[in-house]
Amino acid sequence: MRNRSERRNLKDIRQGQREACEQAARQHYKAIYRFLAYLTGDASLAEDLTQETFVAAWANIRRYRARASFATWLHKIAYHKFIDSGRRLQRHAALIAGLKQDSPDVQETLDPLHQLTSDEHSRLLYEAMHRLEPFEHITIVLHYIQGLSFREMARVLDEPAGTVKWRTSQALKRLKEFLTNRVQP
Amino acid sequence: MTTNQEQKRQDLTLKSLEADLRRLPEVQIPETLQAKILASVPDGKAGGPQGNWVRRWPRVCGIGIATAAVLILGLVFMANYALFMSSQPPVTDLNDGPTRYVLSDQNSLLIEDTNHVNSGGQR
Repeated sequence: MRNRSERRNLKDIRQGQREACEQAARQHYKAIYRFLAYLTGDASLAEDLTQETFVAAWANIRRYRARASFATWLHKIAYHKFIDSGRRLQRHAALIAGLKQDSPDVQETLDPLHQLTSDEHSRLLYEAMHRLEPFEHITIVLHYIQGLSFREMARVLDEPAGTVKWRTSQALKRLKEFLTNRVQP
Repeated sequence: MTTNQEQKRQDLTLKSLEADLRRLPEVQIPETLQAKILASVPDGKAGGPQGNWVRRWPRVCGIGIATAAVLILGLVFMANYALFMSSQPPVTDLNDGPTRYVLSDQNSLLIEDTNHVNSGGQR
């Protein structure tokens, strides 16, 4: 349930009032960028898609019915922008190839995730995440990185919450398998 | 990778994996991104009641014109129907006059001249 100020804020956003929209943008742009950075593994692409996400959000702000939270709605737009980008597989392939090379240049190509990949454990985790199937990867990012509930994920992915929950569970098991197999002799 | 780390991987449980995923370091946000995002925020002119009307007037006018057209067509139809009905002769009993119309057994129409029958007794 939303309180009165939250409802008022959503109403202002839906009416396209600048202050409310600015506040919402400040509040959510980092999360959207992080989401897209994890999905694309590319700083400039994530930045472009983040901008496109917000431009699309403002253009379609009247279609936002406030059934889901504004963050969930933005995630849904960002997810569709990512799908539309059509460059996902190439980026993933390039990223994984880069990680395997383990050269200093790799760090430069992983600009937004530089800190993440500089830590050995995080790097392994990140690499394993990108070995997952695309839909598994997305569920892991949405749930564990972005902190969305299964119901919110269901809205983003347009699938039943039960299906999303099951997929997330399967993705986690697969991720564990990847990590376990990696360390076994 | 040290032996310690290997042991840690082997002892990996789903719960610890979940915790590790939640603890992943934050990504670096480009410094210019916020300015770019804020620049895309609408100026608010399209947001007020005037903006609503400006955006909706074609739709509102379209609905108005369609409604008016339906009403006008309805009125024209009603007027034509009224004219048609007023121009029709009043319905009278077909058997009022000297000619009598009856249906035969085969549903064909027989015409009898009642005057002739009455005077001559023949058809």
